[in-house]
Amino acid sequence: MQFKSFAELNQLAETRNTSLLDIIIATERKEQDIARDELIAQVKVHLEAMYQAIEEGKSKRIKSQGGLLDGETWKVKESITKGQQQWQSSLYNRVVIAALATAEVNASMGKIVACPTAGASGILPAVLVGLSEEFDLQEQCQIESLITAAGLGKIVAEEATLSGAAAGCQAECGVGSAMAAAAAVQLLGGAKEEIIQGFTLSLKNLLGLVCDPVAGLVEVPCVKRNAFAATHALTAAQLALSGVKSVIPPDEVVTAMSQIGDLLPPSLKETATGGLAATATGKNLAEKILGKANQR
Amino acid sequence: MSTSIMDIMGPVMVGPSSSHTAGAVNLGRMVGAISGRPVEKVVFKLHGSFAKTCQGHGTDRALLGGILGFKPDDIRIKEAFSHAQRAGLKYEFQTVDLKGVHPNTVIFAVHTIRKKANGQSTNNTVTIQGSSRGGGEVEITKINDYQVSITGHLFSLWIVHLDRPGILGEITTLLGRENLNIASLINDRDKEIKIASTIIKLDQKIPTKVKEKIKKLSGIKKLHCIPTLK
Ligand code: SF4
Repeated sequence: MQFKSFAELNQLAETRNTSLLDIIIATERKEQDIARDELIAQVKVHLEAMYQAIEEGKSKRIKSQGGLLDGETWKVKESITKGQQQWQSSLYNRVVIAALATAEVNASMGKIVACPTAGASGILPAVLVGLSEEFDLQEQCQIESLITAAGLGKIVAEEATLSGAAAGCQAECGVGSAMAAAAAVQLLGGAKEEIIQGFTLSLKNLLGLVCDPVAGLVEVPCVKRNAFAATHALTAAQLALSGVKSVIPPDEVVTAMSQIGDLLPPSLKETATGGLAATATGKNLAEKILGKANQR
Repeated sequence: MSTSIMDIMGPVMVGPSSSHTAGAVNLGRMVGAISGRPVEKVVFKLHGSFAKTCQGHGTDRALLGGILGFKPDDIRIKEAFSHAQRAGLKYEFQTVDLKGVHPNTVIFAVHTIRKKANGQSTNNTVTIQGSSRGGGEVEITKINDYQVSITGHLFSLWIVHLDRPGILGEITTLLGRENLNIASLINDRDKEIKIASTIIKLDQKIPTKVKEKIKKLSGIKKLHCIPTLK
């Protein structure tokens, strides 16, 4: 890789007097031997799939595959339609709905974009699409912010992990929220340093997030967590755009994430044996669902 | 090769889980390619986490969809049961308790019927074992009693042949003559019946004429080309 760390990426962009986006595209073209047009076309397909998932999730009342969730997006949407959520900004409402919608589509075997993973698939699309619809942003800008976000996520993938089984949910929803914040800062015209800070602030605040899904399914707490992590990204973007900086530099935050992941016991890393999964209710639900499945 | 940013903002897939859904589809696809389609009947024996959370993750539909040739982003996966019925594919799900294997492991007993040119048909059953290793990555670890390792990253040739001296040399010479580069070769044999199984991974797809030439070598029992998962 041309850049292995946030420091290197930033350095490269500084010396060449260009954007993070340009360095990320140049690196991808070199490493994957792909033409620029082709890359953009592929990203566009993924962006469109994000929109489709959100639309699908908003269009109907969805029951999850395991049956733990029933129409969460629908409930929020109804409430907004009835005018009960006017205390929130329209952007915030959009983002919450879009995140829940995608996560519910995922939990019901619908088509989503695993960005960075299926469990965390609602976060970045919600922020990206929410902002774009609210401010009528051009497709080109959306594609570019997606590329930058993925370029930053890649550093975590290569230097640490993006797997809940390896490092808990901080690696899935934590990184998802960080990527969403980076995309938001870029879409709102932030400078390179601010984009990286958005990513860092967001990830840092979700360090230690465990993976303890009830019955081992990507439903509880995953679906609602997507909405929380998406709005969390908005806060990170707001701070970064105001010049607030993480005291701990980005690369050290990633190292901390790795270390915390190693220190987390296996029961909190996707094995559904600790935390929420091990509560009385969690166990009862697991018994019901898995018992039923085993009788088939 | 380094990670592509497309893998960070993807893949586009049917949810809910890359290991229990997308990986299961990919396992089914590999198995369908190895056994050859159409498949008459499959018995799925699910182990570990696959057995436990099968229904909630749609692992059953995903495996079945894969056998039918669906890709991980195919929305028909959710309705795989009815698609299987329409295609005349019979299936059964069982659970097993295996020792020392990855928690997301499944054994497929696949039954196919091939019609020959003379109107007769042959019945075939092959048993294939594989695991979903996370992020949609899979590995086929066993075909019948032979240990193999097929991940779908490269084109693979699976050859069952007599365990006679020189046969591997003849096969690799044929490949070399066509400029087909061998990435790796795994050989496993059953000494008692003097039959061996060889998996050759290649950088390119193998042309049909080369396949035919290998088939004509003495002692070749079976030859299958296994495509990549792309
Ligand atoms: S809790 Fe676990 S399964 Fe759920 S989204 Fe987080 S990492 Fe994925």
